Amino acid sequence: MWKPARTLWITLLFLVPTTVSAQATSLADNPGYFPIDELGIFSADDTSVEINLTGAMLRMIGKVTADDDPEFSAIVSDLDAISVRIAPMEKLDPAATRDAMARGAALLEERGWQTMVRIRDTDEQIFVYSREAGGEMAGMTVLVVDEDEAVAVNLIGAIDMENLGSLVMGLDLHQLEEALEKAEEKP
Amino acid sequence: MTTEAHVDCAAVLERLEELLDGDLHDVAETESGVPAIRRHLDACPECAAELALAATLRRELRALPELDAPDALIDRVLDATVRAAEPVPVPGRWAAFRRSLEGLLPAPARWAAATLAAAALAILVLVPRSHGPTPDPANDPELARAIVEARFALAYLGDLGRGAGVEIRDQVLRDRLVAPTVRGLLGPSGAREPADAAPSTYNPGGSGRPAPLSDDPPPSAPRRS
Repeated sequence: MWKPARTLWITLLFLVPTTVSAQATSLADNPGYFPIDELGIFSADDTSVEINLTGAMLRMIGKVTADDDPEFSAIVSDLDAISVRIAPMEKLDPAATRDAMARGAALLEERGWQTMVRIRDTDEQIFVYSREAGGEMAGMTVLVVDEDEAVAVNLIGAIDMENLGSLVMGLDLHQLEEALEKAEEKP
Repeated sequence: MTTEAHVDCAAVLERLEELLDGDLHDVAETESGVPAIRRHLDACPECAAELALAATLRRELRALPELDAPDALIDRVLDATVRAAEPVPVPGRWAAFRRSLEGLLPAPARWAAATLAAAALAILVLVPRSHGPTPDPANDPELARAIVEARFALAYLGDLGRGAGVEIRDQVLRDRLVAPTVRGLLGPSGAREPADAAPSTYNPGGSGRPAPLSDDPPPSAPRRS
């Protein structure tokens, strides 16, 4: 027996997740995405900092900080994801880590990422790549190895480098490191 | 309260809301009458499907971000659907809602009412929320931590950029200004020569760096200010 109410609810059931999924496509499909975890460097035991912020949370952060810090709010609101991994070099094999980072850089170039900075020294490697889509920046990936730590960062979204540059002038990295450690200690 | 001897579909549908509200496992352990409902659900595919549909819909809707529809829209939808009916009792709202529609409106009107409700829900999903209270990080540890993480990530990028910029600047200055000037003034032999010697080129895409001048220490730009 045809039951229109049931048909309606079933239709609605398909409509809602389809709509939600259209608004939140998989990050892996985003041109600015790079799987930094696939570098094989940052295991759960070795990683000292792991940050995973996606679109919904970033927009919430942008909304909450809009009054107090409009510059920061504007930058964060335009991002779709922030991924950060940091591992102290004392837990890693320096040679293997440098090789992995170099492979990561090569992979980025194979996938069409553009080189912004590429510094290779005996003590450190710094690779900064950007990805464009539709004429706008869609992502940035940073790979760093030095004598202290290995770092990988992937930003997805429209990154305004000028605003980012002026914003970070007012950010104290050491203070934020301490704040992050305190936040991670809380249950 | 139904007995354990017999439970019909109408009684089960009436209890669907309670089952979904009360955590199915706990309710099954503590309330009388639930085992009979459970047996009915195991034996009646239609009721089981209704329960599954209601649970799925509830889960999907709760997973959506909270949105606010304009009050006027909600009023219009309610006026067109259930406000004309008798007040719906709180227990078994699901079944009571269905019964109120079935008793109140003919089939085509019920279909129209349901379509309106679906359209209102679609608008709630599609129209972004523009009002509503702003979350307070002081009361939301997860949000507060996320803000710190975002600031840290951007600060790290900025610090890295400053360091890399300094290093690149130093390298460019050295290759394109200092070295040619020195060569021009002193020449390879140390003797003064014309300042038209070809400078080395800086290639940001290349690997490695040119060897430093013999008296210069290896460059190492700090990444943390």
